[in-house]
This record gives sequence, structure tokens and C-alpha cells, in this order.
Amino acid sequence: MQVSVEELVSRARLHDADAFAELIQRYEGVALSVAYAQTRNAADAGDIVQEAFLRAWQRLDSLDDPSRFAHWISRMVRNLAIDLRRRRKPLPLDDSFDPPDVLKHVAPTEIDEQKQQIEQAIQSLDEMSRECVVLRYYEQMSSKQIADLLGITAAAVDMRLSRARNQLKDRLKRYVEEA
Amino acid sequence: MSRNDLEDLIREDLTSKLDPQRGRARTTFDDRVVAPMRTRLDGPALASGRWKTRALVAVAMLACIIAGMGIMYLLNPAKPQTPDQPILPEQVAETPLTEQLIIPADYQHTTMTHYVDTGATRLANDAPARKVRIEQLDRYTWTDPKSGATFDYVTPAAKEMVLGAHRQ
Repeated sequence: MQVSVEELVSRARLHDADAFAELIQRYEGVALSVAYAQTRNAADAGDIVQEAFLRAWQRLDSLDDPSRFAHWISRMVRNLAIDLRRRRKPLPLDDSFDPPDVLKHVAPTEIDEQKQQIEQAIQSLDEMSRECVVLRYYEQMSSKQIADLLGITAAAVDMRLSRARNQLKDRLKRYVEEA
Repeated sequence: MSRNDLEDLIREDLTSKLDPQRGRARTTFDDRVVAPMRTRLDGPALASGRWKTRALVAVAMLACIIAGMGIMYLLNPAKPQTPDQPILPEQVAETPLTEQLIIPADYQHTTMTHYVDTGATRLANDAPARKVRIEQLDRYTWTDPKSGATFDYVTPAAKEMVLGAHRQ
């Protein structure tokens, strides 16, 4: 029988590292989904998630409702993502930049191009819709679970997912047809 | 394009990107939280182990010392003190005189002798005699010219003599 999240949090508050490791195991996917939706970069998402869990370990006492651990860690991930965006200002492109010849002659493969298109399609979604999509298709979460995490209704989640699918379908039409 | 096709495409893309990031949080937590915790917990235990080792060594050394003293006692037991075998002070290595030990040359030496008649007695040949107790004080006095301090060293001595009377 699976131990409840409340019990894991209670044990972790008593410095039970194994209990907290179990919390990481359970909610790392959710945290990665939220972080990726925010940062649009997998490596940055990984960095943020590891930092978020370290902070969570240190601040477990400030969690009022242990059953809302997923919501709490997601909020922490969002805040860290915002901090990262503030710190990392985009570098201006230099018009005089000329890529090396070796790069000019490397033609992108079909798979690379497809990945790039999917990534761009997901990135084109608004922040909330992007979170809904990643949580649904990476973490296989239900609309109710996503709604609890984001603080919106399940109907709102379904609506956002429906719109996002249509948007993605248009952008990825070519690749899906080829597949 | 079917909905399933689209969903498969998105799922594959997200899995390929995010799956490699899984496990990083756990590894970091283990490295930065669990490992230092174990070090803190193991620290006192190790220290306790060291103290135990030290205590054992100390007990072993004490046992060796006691055993050594016992063996020495068996080989050379302490003899009882008798009048014939007075306890002599331990031989002390002689310290050579150095220039720091100055014997003053200008000391004053006075001797005071006092005779006390302690009564009549008879000698072995029954001749009459008198017992006289001679008490003597040898006094050495020296004054340090620098400090003005006076050192007074007095040696008392006494002996008894029998003075015979000549028969007329």
C-alpha cells in the first residue's frame, strides 16, 4: 500500500531523508513539467527542479497543508523559473556574426527538423496552456489533477487543452501526415 | 491528422527531452543533504570508537605497569627496616660545583663552648670521677655586601666526658 503524501511530509519534517526521497520520486515529473513549460528548456528545467526540491526540504515547515505538496512544489518551481528568466536577459544578436563554414554545410536531418518544429509549436502556446499540455502528455495527469495543481477548474483545463491541440495540429500538420 | 497521432508526437517529444532530466533532483538531494547528514551522524560514532580504542590502550598500559611492579617486587622484595639495616638515602648523582655556587671567604666563625658538671661517678677501677657535658656551638656569619643581608649558620654539638681524679 502506498504511503500517503501527508505521512511522507510529516516524516520528512522530522528529517527523514528517505521519506523526502520518496516525495522527489513521486513529484519530480510534475515539477519537471511545470519547469519545462515555464523555461522551454529541458536542462534549465532540470536545474530548477533540483533547486526547488532542496528548498522544499529546507522549508517544509512552511507547508500548511501537506496534501498540497504538489501544488506547493509547483509554485516554488514557477518562482525559480521567473528568477531565472530575470537573471538571464537575452543577448542581442550581432548582425556581423558569420557562422563558421563547417556549420553552413551541415544540413539538418529530418528528425532534427521535426523535433524543432514540435518544440516551436509547444513554445508558441501561452504559458497556462503549455503547462496543461506538458502535464497531460508527459505526466499523464487527468484534467482534475491539472486543475488542482494550477488552481483552475477541470473544464478550463479541458478547454485549454482543446485549443492547444488545434493550434499544435495546424503547426505540425505536415509531419503528422508524413508519419 | 488524428488526435492520437498528434498526442503521440507531443508525448514522444516531451519524453525524449525531459526523461534525461529525471533523477537529477534525487542525486542532488543525496549529495547535498543525505551525505552531510550521514557524515554528521557517523562523526560522533567514529569519535566514540576512537575513545574506546584510547581507553583500551590506557587500560592495557596500566596493566603492564602493575605487572612490571609485581615482577620487580617478586625479584627484589622490600626488606623490613631493622636497626642493623638503616634506611639510607638514595644515592643522588653528585652535582658538580659551578661558579654559581659562591662560598664567601670573609665569613666570621665563632665557637662557644659550655661545660656542665653533671655529677660524680666511678670508673671501672672504682676510682672516683666527674661527668662533664661539653656543649659547643659553631657559628658562621656572613654579610652580603651587595644586599646587606646577614647569613647566620649555627651548628650545635654536644658530648660527655668523664674526668678522672688522681689518687693522692
